[in-house]
Amino acid sequence: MAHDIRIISVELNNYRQFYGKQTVEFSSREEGFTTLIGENGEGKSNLLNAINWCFYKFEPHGKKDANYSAPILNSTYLLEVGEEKTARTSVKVLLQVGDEQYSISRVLTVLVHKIEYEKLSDGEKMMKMAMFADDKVPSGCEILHNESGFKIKKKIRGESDFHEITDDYNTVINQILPRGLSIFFLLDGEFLEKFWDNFESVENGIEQISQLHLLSDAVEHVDDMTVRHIAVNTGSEEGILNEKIDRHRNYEKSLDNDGNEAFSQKIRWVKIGETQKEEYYHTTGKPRINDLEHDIKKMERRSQEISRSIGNVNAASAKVLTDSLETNEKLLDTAKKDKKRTEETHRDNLIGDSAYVFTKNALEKTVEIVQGFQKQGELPNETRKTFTNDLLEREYCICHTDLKSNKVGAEEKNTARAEVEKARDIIAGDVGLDISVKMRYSFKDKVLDDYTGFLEKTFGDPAEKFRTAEKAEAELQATVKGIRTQLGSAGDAKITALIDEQDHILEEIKTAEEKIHEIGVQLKANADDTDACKQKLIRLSAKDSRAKKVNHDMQIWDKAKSQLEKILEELKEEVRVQVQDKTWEIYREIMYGVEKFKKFEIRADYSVILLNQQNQNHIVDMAAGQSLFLAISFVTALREITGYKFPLVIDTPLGKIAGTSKYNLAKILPSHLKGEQLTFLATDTEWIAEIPDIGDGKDRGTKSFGEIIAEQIPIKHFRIKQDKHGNSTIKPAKLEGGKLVVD
Amino acid sequence: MSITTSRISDPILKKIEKTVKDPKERQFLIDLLERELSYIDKDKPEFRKEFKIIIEQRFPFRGKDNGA
Repeated sequence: MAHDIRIISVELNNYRQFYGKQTVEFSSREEGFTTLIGENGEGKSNLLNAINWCFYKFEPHGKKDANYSAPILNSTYLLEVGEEKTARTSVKVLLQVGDEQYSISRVLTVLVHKIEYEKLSDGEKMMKMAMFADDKVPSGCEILHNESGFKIKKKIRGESDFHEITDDYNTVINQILPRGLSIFFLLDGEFLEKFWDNFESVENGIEQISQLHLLSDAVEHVDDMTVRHIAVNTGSEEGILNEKIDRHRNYEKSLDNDGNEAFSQKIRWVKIGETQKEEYYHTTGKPRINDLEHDIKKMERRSQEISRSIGNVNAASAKVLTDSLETNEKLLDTAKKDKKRTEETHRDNLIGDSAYVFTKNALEKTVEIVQGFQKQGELPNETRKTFTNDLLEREYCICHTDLKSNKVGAEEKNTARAEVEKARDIIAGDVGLDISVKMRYSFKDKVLDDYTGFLEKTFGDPAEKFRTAEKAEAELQATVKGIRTQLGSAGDAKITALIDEQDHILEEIKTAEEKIHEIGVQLKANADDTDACKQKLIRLSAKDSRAKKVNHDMQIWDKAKSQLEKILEELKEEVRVQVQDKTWEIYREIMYGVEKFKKFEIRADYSVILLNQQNQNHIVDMAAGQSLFLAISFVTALREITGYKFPLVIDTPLGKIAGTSKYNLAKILPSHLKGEQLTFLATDTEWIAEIPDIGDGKDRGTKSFGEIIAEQIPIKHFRIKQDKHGNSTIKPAKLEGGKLVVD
Repeated sequence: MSITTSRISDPILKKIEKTVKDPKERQFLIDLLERELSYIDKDKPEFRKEFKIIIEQRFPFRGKDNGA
């Protein structure tokens, strides 16, 4: 992969709406930025397509319709050529790669016979298209393959002419600018806007641009070199050890005994309602872990979608809300019971104990009288009865009179005892005084001893408890209503279904994570055992020179593999964290003053978290402008961290961006991309129109995006202009007095 | 074939420098990664043969003293 690449020029010959020969000579890094201004449909996206087509025969930009069928050869030109003549379209890109220049060109030549049309319902006619292998040309044209194709020429510094290279052209272009990376140097607005819809772009960006894939491929290939290809007797000690090593290897790579990829019976996770071909999990090892990790990402993605469906809440808060609703409904139920209970107590006390308040004076008098009786020795009869029974049981009085029973038949002959028994029986039938005493204690203890306390305890406290319960119930009613409103947008039944799906997904994620852990443990144990087996094999093969050679190589491959793995793991972590921090730093600079998020994190599995102030992850539902800026920040960070300098062409990035952020972007891009080759493809409105004041209190004058950048760095302008036939031309231009003037 | 400007990125080279102390082993890894660079657009690269050549160049088997 080359590290210092820039586009010198792009030459289009009758490519799509570009009629005739159109050339753009780009500014070098030292000269500044390049900007092509054109309205929508005039060919900005097709300039990106032209470069992609030239390099990779691939046109991904700006197509809303999958059946896009406009001919790659300019229509006006094709008709001018006439029948039985050859027509040719080509794109040539001159690239500077270090000290070398490459002339990369692709040509499509056709022999025009009779162009066919089809009639539309309104009577208009449309050019019919036909596919020949992977080329689409108008029906009635024949591709001349010997005059078509892809070519790369090269010259090194000091040479005047290009000379053809003998290497495979596709390999060369993929080494200079790998096709997988084209999305990172030929950026269109749509790609940037949808950048965070899945995290593959994040993974590809980090892995490809940092060349981590080189390391992981090398690990794979070196690992393959560790397979022993040496015949040994089955059943011998060497044979058993080799079988063990093979078994561990098969487990690690999910292979069957014949070395074929092995799959389990378990069907991989798919979104409910999604129709796609059933896929099965690999049986074991790293492929199974990869499957599970991939599916976990998909599940997390779906989980976030569910949250979006429920409302503007994220997955966690949707679950929290539902849990909260359940909890609060239970609390409300309890609060209702509390309210009822305290209301009853309050009411009963009012009815039952109010009489004490009205009869307080009478109660005091009653207590006074009873106390007077007690002072005079009039004990309560209950006590007196207990006392006499006690004397009779003891059989003597406190005055030592004998009370021992002396019964003859039914008659008691001990007269003292007979008298005591008689008194006891009288007392037993007289309870009047006892009731008075009890009333005295009741009135005194309950009411009179602490009358204020009585009033508070009987009337004040229950009333207060009732009011508190009443208030708690009202508050919980409001809380439950609020939660229901938050959850209510999708309708109860739908929410329930979504929450159920959410619960199921979370359960699946947990199971998958447990499985990953289980496989990880097994892999570690197998690796240890493999090492032990290999050591034994080395000892056993000490006398066999061929085996010694195999073991010698195996040791070196093993060591190389472990070194490459270590380098890969450390680098992966370092680059990920650096790109994460740099992305966040740039994004915050762009969004300065309008920042709504507080944390950005790229996790080890390349999933991304963007937390708002309420700790909700908003990576999936950012506004278009936020998504675009974060993507630009990411791409810029990648370049800074990896030091990989490739040209950056950005198509229409500014349409959906608010004033403050647009202003900030114009201010910081030149400094972050200093020394980088940056090309903008923009509309007049995006580039030349004054940035509107959105009332953020910032005095930014009356400058346009283009003017703010031009104050910091020179810009080479071009105007793309379309005529009434739909043919576009590209002319050099200058930005003068806020207007673009064609030279 | 060689594309002189196609090279292993600086962060990887620095990491190799830091991780692998033995210059011979270091060069061995770089050789392997340079081979990998040429496999970029190949679905099934013929790496076995080329890797064998590299190991024989860097760590030739010499019987008793194997040079590893």
